[in-house]
Amino acid sequence: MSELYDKIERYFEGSMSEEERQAFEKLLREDAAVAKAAKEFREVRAHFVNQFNGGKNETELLKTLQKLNGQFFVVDDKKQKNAKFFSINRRWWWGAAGIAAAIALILIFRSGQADLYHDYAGFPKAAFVEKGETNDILAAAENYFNTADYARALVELNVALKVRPESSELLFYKALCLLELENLPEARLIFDSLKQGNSAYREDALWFLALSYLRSEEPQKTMEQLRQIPPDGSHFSEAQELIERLQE
Amino acid sequence: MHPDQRYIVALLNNDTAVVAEIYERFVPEIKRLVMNNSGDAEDARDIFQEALLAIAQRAGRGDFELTCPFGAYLFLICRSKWLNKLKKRKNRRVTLTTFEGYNVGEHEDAFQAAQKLLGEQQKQKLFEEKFETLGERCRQLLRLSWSGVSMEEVAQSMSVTYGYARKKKSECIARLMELIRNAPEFKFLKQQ
Repeated sequence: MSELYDKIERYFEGSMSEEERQAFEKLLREDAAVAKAAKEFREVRAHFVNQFNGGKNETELLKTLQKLNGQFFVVDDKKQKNAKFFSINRRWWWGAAGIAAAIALILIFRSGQADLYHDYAGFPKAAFVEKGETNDILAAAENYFNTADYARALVELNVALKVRPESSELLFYKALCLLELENLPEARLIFDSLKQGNSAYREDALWFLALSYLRSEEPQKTMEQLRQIPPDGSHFSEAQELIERLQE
Repeated sequence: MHPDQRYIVALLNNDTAVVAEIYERFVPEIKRLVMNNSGDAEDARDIFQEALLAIAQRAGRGDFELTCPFGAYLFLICRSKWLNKLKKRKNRRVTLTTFEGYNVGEHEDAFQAAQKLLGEQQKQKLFEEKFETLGERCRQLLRLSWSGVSMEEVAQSMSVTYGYARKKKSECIARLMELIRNAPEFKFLKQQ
């Protein structure tokens, strides 16, 4: 099977010789099973190629959307922090109490998991640029990250990673950006690989991997990850506390 | 092609003025949809943003033409997404009867298109889930190579020979496809 996929992949990559390509196209026309496998794989491949490369365009669009969100959706600022409020059954309220009542909108406190996430997700400060070193990209990434402009930080980090693809520091911070921008699958992919490695970010990656499931409101998976944090790990006590709160 | 294709183009090109027009024209409707159905302004904002990103992603993959009004398409995507979210929030009562807005019967084409997009998103979610279950080396190799890094460079960065990297890559692909094909939901999603 993997020999067939080697061919199909090289065909989509465009790395076949002219002769090979013609032979493969003939095979595609004549062998229904090959054609089916190629068709299924094309869709999967297109998705990942798009996902791994579309980051920049999407980040740019996301920035535009986030700016417009602020203009068109009035959301209570307090929500962004710890307390999350929402109004109950607005239509009934407006009908029954009239506009004057809007001023006194009853807000009730809701303690959902999204708020728990914000309680625990304290990001470390970025310091990418070493003393005496000048690196515009890293300096920009650091600056954006530390001012919580994660969309811009991500763009810079992606550029920096082209040069240093193996840097666990850059990867870790990229994953934090992805987590903040709610690109959870990509964030998890990175945390997961850091968790299995032995860089200095191993423990932090495990902790934030757990938090990524908190963000998507999956308490079981959150706890599953939290339980992997060893007692001598840096996030152990926080993890225990969070497990307790999740079990409430 | 529907004249509203210009909205798709604007999302693809990140044309702020036209994207702002999308907000101007369609936010009130989506707010009504969400806020009349147990949601708040923040929910409406999240759904709206998610739907626009989904449309942009789909259009970004190419081969996409809008054949129905953009408003109906967007509305029906938001509606499905909001229903799904409500279902997940078990502690809240779901009111399905008060959904207002586009009548599905009048916009059969938009309904079809929205269903198609949502089905594709489900499929992609499956692809991503299966990808996550691959081993670390596989994920690293596929990620690098599908990000546009040449196989020679991939091999170098993983400290293996070109031949080995190629072999490994096709094995990883075969494994990924096997995982996807064997997923019970795959057959169902394919039929959609």
